[in-house]
Amino acid sequence: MADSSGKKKPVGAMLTWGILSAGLYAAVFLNVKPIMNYFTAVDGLQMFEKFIRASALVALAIAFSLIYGNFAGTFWEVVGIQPKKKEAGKEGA
Amino acid sequence: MAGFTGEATKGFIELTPFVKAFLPTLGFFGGLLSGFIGSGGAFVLTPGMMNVGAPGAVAVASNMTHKFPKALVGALKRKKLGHVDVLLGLVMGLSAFAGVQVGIIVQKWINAVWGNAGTNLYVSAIFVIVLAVVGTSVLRDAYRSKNNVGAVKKAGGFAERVQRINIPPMLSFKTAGVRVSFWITVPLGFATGMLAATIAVGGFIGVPAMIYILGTSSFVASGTELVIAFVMGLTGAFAWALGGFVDIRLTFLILAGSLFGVQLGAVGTSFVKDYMIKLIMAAVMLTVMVSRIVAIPVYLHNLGRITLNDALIPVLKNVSFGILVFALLGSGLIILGAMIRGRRAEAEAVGAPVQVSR
Repeated sequence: MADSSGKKKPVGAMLTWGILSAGLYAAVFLNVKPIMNYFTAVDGLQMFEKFIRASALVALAIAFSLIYGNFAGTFWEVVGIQPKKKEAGKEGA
Repeated sequence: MAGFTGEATKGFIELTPFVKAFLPTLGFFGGLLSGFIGSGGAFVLTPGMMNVGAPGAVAVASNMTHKFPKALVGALKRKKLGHVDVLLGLVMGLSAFAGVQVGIIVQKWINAVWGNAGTNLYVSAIFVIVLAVVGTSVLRDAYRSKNNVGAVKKAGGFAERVQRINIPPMLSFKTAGVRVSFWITVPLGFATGMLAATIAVGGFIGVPAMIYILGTSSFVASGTELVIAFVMGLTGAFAWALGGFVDIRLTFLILAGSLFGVQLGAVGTSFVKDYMIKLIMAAVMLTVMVSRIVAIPVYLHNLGRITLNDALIPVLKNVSFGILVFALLGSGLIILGAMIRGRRAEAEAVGAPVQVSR
């Protein structure tokens, strides 16, 4: 486990990713009405405009997940939750 | 929630304090399952959103938009454990793309003809059929595996026969340790995609297909499924977003919990035996199936096909919801319990003067 590996815990990285995650989360929920309208009020729009809006939504979901995913990953490392050391790809535990 | 242009037609829900607390919790346990069995978080998340009032189409669309970035994060974690065959994931994922498109067309047509009640009923009916068939099969195999660990780890007789079918091009999947025809892999991917577009859980076909038809281990099947989920989730989410069905608020609330859960679940696989993944997958599938069966009369009532007593409708909804929560918490606790036991055994092995095998 992390404790026995002697690796330094990524506290600084966790805090950085955590602050970035909170900022992005707040930006979305503080502007939820225009954002929801932008992504959902697409009936009657040209296909190109729909394409742009769908791309923006997908990009937003990926950006949030990578930022927040890094926060979650470093959080588990900091609290000492890591995979059991074993030969990669072997079955059983 | 008031003021969305799409609210009236698509039925976006109000975010009550309960919903704001419930969805991240649901996401955490759903993510825990996804990280552990490669799929399955969505079969809890879609009904979960429907239980708090989201229409079927919005629930599936928002779920799919949360699923692909979560799958990316989970796949990266499982790759480090040697559980991901990237080539197999990409071949099945790209063929699943076509299946996703066909599945979305079917559901949009149902939505246009019968409205939200129609899609709710359709999604629930597919849930029940798939969960009943696949869930019982996986459960039977999990018990066989448990009683005969070691003998049922590699391809069964059927998978061996499939691998002997030599129709070029043949593909070698190194991490999975199998060589199989492209023309067998592609239809499996297509079926996975069609199911994913319908109930946002393609893995109920994809994972068992990789284990029982292609002959991979449960570890590689569940890890590779995350690559498939990413590819088809990305394309599926885009298609749903083109129609304006994605509720980004629901997506973000679920991600807030699921990105923690998926990484914890991935870590959990390193502490358990092969059959445990099958056992948990089957147990949750069958429990959620019962939850959907209980909810179906309500959707039939909404479509005007049957008439229910007004007092009975909330009872059915609450019972369905309760079973869902039971499935979610029960499986989550089993996974966490297995992890704790595994960690304890590892700590004892490290501390003991003589190595003790688990």
